Amino acid sequence: MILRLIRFLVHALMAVMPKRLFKNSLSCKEVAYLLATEENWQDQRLKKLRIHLLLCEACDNYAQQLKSIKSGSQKLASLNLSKEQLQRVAEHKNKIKNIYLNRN
Amino acid sequence: MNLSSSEFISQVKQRDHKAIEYLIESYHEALFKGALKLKLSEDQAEEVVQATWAVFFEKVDNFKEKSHIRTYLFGILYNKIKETWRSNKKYTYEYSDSEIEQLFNSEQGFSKVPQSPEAWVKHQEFVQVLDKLLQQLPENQRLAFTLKEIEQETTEDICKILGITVTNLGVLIYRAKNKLRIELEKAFEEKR
Repeated sequence: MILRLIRFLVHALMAVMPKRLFKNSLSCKEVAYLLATEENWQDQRLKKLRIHLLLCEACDNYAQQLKSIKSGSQKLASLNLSKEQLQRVAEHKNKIKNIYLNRN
Repeated sequence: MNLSSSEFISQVKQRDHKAIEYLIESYHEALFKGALKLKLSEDQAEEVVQATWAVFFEKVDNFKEKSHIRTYLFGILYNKIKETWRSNKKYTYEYSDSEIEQLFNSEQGFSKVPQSPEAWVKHQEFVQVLDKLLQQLPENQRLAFTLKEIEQETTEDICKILGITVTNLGVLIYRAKNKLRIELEKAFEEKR
């Protein structure tokens, strides 16, 4: 609630202040790219990113969405093969070994 | 045996039986799993893994050791998987740049405020929905996302596997994540 109020006040203030005062801050578009790629977060940009996220609800939600996608993706990482699949892999592996060991 | 050593690689190039056996023993199951994770059937997985070994042994003499042998092997596997996807015609839509441009207004702010994902995460079908949406991404985005977020490969290895630059990878990941979150918003809007 307090965060929302602060965000509202900052946005209201930004709307009436000259744009040149914010020329060094990151836009939502830049923040979105930085968050998605997770690369090259140099110190200076990281500070700007944190400030932007604190003040911008849209980017904060965007960041949460990406976090959820990341954690959901990690649940897709594990794959345990069944007994039958392991048997199948073992047989196929022997077949491959026979091909390349007998060829050479 | 050290799989990344020059000595091991030259043994493989000389078709040393022990080295070949060790290599196949080390990676065959991982290759099969890699294919299954990208939603190939068991038959298709066997086919692409067999084709991967065939290409590997055909081209290993040209292997320059700029990457780990595993990266080289998986690079071949993912190319074979892409060929299979193309023949399956499984992915359904291409994601255009204009769709991303529309996310932002002329002030570079979001045109539409992204939803809080609280509802997605609480939903028991979240991971299944995500998995389904992932399969619908264009092949390069899907591979880049899978390698980065699911297989957690390094940026350097992904670029070598896909034969792209770091910038290109960033663009693919950015597009993939945006497409996924847009589609997740739609999916969970419908489930409300």
